Amino acid sequence: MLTEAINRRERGIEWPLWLAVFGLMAVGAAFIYSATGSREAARGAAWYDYTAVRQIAFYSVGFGLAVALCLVEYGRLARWSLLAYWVGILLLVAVPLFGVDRLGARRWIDFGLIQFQPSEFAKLSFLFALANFLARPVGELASPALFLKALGMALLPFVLILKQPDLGSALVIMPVALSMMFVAGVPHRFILKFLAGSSLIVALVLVDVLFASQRWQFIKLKEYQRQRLLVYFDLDFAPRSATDLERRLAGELKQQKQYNVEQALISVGSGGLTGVGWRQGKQGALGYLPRAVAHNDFIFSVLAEEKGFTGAIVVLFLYGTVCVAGIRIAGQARDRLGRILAAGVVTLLFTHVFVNIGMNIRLMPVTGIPLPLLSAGGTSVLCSLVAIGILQNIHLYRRHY
Amino acid sequence: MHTASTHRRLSAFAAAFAMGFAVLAVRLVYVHVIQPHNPEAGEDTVDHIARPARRGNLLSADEKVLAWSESLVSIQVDPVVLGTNLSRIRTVAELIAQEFGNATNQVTAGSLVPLLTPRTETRRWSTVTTNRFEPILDARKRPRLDTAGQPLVRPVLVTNWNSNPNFTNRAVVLFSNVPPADWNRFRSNLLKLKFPEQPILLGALTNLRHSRPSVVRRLAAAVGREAGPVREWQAQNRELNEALKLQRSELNEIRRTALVAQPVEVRLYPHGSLASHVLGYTTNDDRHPRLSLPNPILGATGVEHMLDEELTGSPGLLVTHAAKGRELVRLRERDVPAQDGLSAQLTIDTRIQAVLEDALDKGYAEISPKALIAIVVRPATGEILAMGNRPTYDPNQLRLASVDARWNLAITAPTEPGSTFKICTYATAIELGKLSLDQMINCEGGHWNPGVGRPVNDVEGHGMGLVAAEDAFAKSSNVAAAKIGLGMSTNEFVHGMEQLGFLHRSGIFYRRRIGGQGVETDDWGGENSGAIPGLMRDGRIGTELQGRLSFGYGLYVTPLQTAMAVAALANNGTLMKPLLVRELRTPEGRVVKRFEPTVARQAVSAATAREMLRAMRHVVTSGTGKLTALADYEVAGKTGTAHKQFNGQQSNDKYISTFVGVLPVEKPELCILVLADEPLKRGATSHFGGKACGPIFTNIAVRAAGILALRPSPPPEPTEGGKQADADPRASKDERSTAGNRDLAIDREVTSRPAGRSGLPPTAAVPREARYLKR
Repeated sequence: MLTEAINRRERGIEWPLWLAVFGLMAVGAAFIYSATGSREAARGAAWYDYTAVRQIAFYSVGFGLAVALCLVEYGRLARWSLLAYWVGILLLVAVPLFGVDRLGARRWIDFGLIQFQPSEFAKLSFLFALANFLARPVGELASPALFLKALGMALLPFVLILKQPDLGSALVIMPVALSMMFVAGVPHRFILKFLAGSSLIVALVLVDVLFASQRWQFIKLKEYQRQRLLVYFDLDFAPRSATDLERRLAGELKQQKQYNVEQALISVGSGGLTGVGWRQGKQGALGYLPRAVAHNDFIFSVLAEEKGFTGAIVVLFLYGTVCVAGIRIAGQARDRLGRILAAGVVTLLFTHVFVNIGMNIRLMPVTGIPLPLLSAGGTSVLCSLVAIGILQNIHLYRRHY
Repeated sequence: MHTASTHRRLSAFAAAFAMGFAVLAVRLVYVHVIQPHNPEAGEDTVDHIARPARRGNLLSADEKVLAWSESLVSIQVDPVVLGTNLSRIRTVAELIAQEFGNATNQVTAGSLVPLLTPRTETRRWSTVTTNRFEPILDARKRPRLDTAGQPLVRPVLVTNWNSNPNFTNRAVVLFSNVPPADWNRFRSNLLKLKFPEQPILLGALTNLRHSRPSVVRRLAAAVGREAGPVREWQAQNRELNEALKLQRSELNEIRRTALVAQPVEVRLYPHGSLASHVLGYTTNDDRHPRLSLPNPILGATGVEHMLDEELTGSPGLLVTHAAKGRELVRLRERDVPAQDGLSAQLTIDTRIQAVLEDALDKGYAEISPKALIAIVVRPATGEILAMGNRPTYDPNQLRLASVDARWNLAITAPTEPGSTFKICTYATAIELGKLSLDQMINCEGGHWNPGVGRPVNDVEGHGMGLVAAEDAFAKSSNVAAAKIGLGMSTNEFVHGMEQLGFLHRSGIFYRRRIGGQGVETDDWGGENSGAIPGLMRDGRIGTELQGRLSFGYGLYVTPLQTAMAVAALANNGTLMKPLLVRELRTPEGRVVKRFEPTVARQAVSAATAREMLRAMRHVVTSGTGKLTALADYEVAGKTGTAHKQFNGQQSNDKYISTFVGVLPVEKPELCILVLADEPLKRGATSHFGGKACGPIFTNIAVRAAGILALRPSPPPEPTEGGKQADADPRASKDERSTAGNRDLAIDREVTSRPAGRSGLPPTAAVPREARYLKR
């Protein structure tokens, strides 16, 4: 008991994890200020209206939440996970009914004081619920029915988020679910079959969306989603039978649509090895990176332009530290629940990082996925910090038998 | 707890993440370092805006503007931007016709439409031009820096080959030389131009998706449509919006970029053909066009050419950042204002030049020469007060001028000088002490065989016997000149020519080195140095040639060389460099360089010069130049009538006639040369230098002396036959026509005083008219 107490005190806090997290928060605040500060100063905003200040406030709140989360052991939290899961589903269902429109999509619920993005909450609650579900003895996982149930748990929020429409957030759910199943010990054949099946479906969908004529498109993606995919695969917007005028129009449209990607890539490219310097970036200052997204989804471009390759690698290193710490925590976790939960959290964070940075450097199609802790945005920050809190929780109670 | 299986799975899990990070890192290395996307991303937002510099003015000595520059624009249209939509073309055409059409240019909307319609040609290759900025290098090929230490750059238009097969009329010049104010007014109207098609799609302006049906009905009513089911409207909505966006961007594109103004700089010569040969003209250098800057103006001839570098300013440069058409002044990097070129004040006096032009016009009509040249020089300083040629041209209408009319013959046309060159022969002999004016010379009755080569002949009927050298000079005896010339050694003779400036360029224009591609050439602004074709390499000339040179054949000199040599004699033997540019000034009027009169050399001694003036005075009083005598001023001069040569054969009916004279003799202020190429005999005139060119000389001399308010020559010392009589000055003017008597009187007067009295102060205040009274 005594040794445990000493051990807990000695190794209770996962320092590399928190150092990396604080580093990321500092970088985030600095570059959100760089992207928005001068314009807000020019507008004459009060100090507390600055996006960067609000971000710092969210950091504090999120840190508080993470600390609060550590007070209760994750095993006890997991008992409430199914309830949280259904609350999340309920909120997702409520979004189309009571939500508010922003930037052409309905993803937010207005609670008066704050606007809340249920998909973020739903992701976390889903994570908990699935971990709880998979934490049963390994032997049971060999049954296909269980696998299908787990799949169903993932598909429900997936479909609901997809309908918002928020393809990015929805797609995050699948790797999270898969990695959790993998770590939990679901037989390879199930996972491989599922991967093969879903790859086939995705390929068919892509072929249908990208190449089929209007009449043969069975899957109705939103037009902007289709355009983003066309941009990503660098395909012509106009069908092959188009007239010259149509081709010209489609070409101009494509120019417009790939504007963000182009400008993001120009930003990153002009950063070079060491960047042009903090607050010296032209792409953001001159409005080439659209102002609406420069400080959230495209914050990485701002960073990559101003601090160059070194800055980008430092940020990657920080995220890498978070992931390594997470995996270490998973390895040291005291039970299957902790291991599965930690794996899910790490996958969640990593998927966000990969997709967001990937879209900034034209590795992935553009989806509205925030960069954890760096992008401006309350819900994203809170959820990221809560996720970190879960990791810390698992670490804290790793010997708490 | 930890089974081997979970370990494996966690390791695989970690490996997957590691791979993910590796992919990101590799991609980052690629986009950041290996192949940065658009490495000039920052440059894209930087604008280099050139600011044109104005070419400096040319001013006369009396501060009249002889040449100046005006900044205008030429309006060009890009029909490809306009597109093929006829209603759009018509709308633009109507605006243009309304703004620029008038009765003179006959521009109507209908006549403009074909110009505004895009044409498609199929060409294998076409070119694309863009502006590139390259550093200005100094003589050592190092970039020149401005005061801030930044390299100076200049815009260069780069042409690249492009294999686009559809080459269209992309830059149709509609109007050249439009005042910028007119263009600005037109452009502001163009930006506001309404196109008739615009209201049709008005319904698409609003996003109807969430509009209430009542709003939709109101909108429908506004565009005159029936308010159908809202669902239907919504269905059309997106397409309409896309189409409208496109249409708007197209129309804005037309308003903003279909018509552009290319700045042009126009050189204007307010006085037309006045002094056109001295000023020269300019050409537009369209081989190196620069966007947003007028084509460079290059001085082609004359002062425009000589002072080209000084007159040309340096364009300014604004380096700034712009986003979406707006300049971000905060990020402005450099702002170098344009420096206008320097203005040059010439020594040309428009009043004297006008007199000279007028006299040339009259003379040209009277004696109908092939060419007529006149030069007015101030002997003491070498200033060119006026210079002109016929035929002439108007630099404002260069296209109408024949190429021949553009030559400044006064400095570019060397001819055999004939008798005027005897000045050099006599002066050299006197300087050497081998001749005095009183020395008697046998003129052999006009025919003399020097023993070598051809015999020397005087003009039929002008043969003389034993006469004083002075009289031989006055009557222009070739025999006497040949004898004097052959009395000197070759070296002495050539040295005399060199001293008076006949073997070198006068240096009226700078010596400019124009080089490029390793070729260095001297450019004297077209000035010719003249030459002796028979001069051997070791500087020796044959005896026969020396004899012929003595009376002005066998060598070629320019009219300016003759004028400057005579001016040297009138300036106590000091040969001046001709001075054409007095000073250079900044556009604000500050003098940056002043050109002082420069002595070329002491050509002959002052005493020799005095003797030569006496001899030239004798020409006017009792020799071949009697027609040029003036009432108020004592003129000294020399006539010349040279046979022209054709294929080595002397012509007997084509001559070059010259008169060169100075006045007033006692303190010469003006040296005037008139030269006529092939004057025609007509009426009372003849081809002889005194007869053909003398009246033109007098015409210029009288009026120029009046303009300069020269003090009239003092009356002669009373002689034994002279009477001091009061006479009406006007009466004396009437006397001028009877030149014979008057000349006789002075003739006697001068012969009685062999020493001459040039430069002596008057000994008594005798009314000058007294000299001209009949006795």
